[in-house]
Amino acid sequence: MNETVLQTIHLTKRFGNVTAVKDLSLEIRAGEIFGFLGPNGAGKTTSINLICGLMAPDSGEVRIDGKPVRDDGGITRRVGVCPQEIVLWERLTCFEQLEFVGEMYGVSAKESRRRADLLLEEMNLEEKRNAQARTLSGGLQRRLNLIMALVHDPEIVILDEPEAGLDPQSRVRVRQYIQSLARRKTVILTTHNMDEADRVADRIAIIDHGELLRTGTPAELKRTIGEGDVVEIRLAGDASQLETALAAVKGIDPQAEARLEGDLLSVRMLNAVSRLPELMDRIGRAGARATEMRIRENTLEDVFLQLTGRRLRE
Amino acid sequence: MKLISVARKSLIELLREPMLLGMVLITPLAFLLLDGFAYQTPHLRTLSVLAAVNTPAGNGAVGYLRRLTYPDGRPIFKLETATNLDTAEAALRERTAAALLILDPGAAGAPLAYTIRGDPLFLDYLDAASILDSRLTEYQNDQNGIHPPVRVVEHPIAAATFRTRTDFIVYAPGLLVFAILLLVPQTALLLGREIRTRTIRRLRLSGVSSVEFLGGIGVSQVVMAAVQIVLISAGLIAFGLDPSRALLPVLLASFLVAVSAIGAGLIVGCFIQNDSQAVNLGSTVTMLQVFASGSFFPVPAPALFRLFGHEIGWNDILPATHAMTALQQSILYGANLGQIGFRLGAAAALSLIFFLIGAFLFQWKVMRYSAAA
Repeated sequence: MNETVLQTIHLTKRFGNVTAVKDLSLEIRAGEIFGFLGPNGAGKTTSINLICGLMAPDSGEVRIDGKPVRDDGGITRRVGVCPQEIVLWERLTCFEQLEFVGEMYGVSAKESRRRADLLLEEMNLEEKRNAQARTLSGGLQRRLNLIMALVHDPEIVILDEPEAGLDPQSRVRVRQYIQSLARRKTVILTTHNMDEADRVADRIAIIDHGELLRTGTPAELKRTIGEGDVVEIRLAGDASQLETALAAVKGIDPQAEARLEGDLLSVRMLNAVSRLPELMDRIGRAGARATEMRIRENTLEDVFLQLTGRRLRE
Repeated sequence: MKLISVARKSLIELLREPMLLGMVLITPLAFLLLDGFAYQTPHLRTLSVLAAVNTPAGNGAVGYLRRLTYPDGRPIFKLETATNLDTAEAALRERTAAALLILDPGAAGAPLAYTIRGDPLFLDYLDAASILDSRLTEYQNDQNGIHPPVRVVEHPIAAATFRTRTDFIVYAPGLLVFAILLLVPQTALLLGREIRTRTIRRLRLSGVSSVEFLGGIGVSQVVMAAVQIVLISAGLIAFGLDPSRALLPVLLASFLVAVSAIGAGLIVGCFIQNDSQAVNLGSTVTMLQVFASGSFFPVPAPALFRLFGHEIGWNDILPATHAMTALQQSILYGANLGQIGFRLGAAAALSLIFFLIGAFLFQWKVMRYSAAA
């Protein structure tokens, strides 16, 4: 679990004046599920393209088992990639797609066919074995898209937004499947879904504007922004009353962090539940009124907000 | 093995796409049938001529012309008497008659004077006028006891094949080249689709080489071309091609055109991003090759230099030009493989060069490590 299988070393990629990936240095360990978390356009897919060898960096390099990834060493064949968009041959059946891709990776025809049937069964697609890809629903196409990355039994599996566009049933199936890959394979996944990253990934890299902001386990990342729970209170009142309420809440505890976004007051502090009466009292004395309230744990969304000043969905 | 897998996959895709399959197999056959029925008339055909006879001496001339025949016994002219000049002029304009022959008394002792009227833009008129003029001069000389000092004997180089030749066979080489060159847009389409659907990225990641991938596409297209050539050749035979004389050269030259078309399709595939661009650019390249190779009509191509005794013009850079020449030689004049060896060799060499250029460009623009993903 501690052995580094993939490294990116000062990886930079520019498109004209835009730096899509800036000085990205990472170490990904064998058998872990590593998540790239960031909003759309953060540089996740470009990072993935650089890692899997689809794109050459302007500077820096990617190493797999210490060897640089280029197109001449066949190293990228140890990697399986599930792209964000559905990439299928429209008029081939599910089985034919898998068989063909296996053969392209140099797997024998017999072994390709065996693995194709196995993967179709694992992803509950065996009934669609002989259906052409163009006849499948979007969810089934995405499932097929995912197992196409695995037919040559790669050591490293890269999944670019694997849950994007999935119906709830397929999402559960795909998430279970990704978790089942853990320890058997090294999995790198990109997502802008904090819930997906939190539930699935062993470690997460938060990336924005092409820049790596922080790396760690979900628990470590959440700890970096402080201990305690988050109380979210929707307020009614005029602007000055809301500002007064914010200032009053900040005075509760020097360790507490409070933030006002529109009419939503977020307060992170230890023992939040036991201090709720005091919190409500201070809000009331500021002239504001709570219309809605909830208490939750820190999330990766909070981490991203802390690091960038904006939410993942913005 | 990867090459075979790519070929098998491409053929499966083609067989499951009736429109694409139809474009390659049905379109050439449709052209063949249309042209075959349209030009089924013999190349040396009986010409319809109206005769206005204004002198008794003219009746003899008309009788003489009516007795003229081609070597196979068919009459050269179908001569009808024109009773009304206005009606005759209308027939010329409607092209129901090739020419109007007006026979008048000759001046200064000559028994006959003749006028030939018709539309110079009508090919039949040119044929009719030429034959009428020469044969009437010959007739007058005979009548006057004049024996010309020089006797002209015509001996057509394709005389041996005249009996079976029709206009269709004259156009057959060009039709064949055009039909096979339809493989250019189809080959480009297969590549354009891989680029549009981004499946080419899967192939790049797998480490398949350009030669394996393009070779596989090429093999699938060669299989299609083989079916296409067999169908077209069967059609040509049905419409008058003598298989005992020309079949093997036709098959060889057709195959070489197919290889060059596939190579051109691969080159086109390097400059497109989707299916419609493939069809548009591929069709343009097809038409340019068809015209430049002289498949539709002769193209002025002054000799730039000589190679192995053959004049080489600007359009000889195209394999289709050599294949077209080889097809003309074999279909029209019954040339054997030895006689068209240079053209076949040149077409083969240029086809290989086209394919290699296509493979190199595809590797450089699409498949290489630093190519745009």
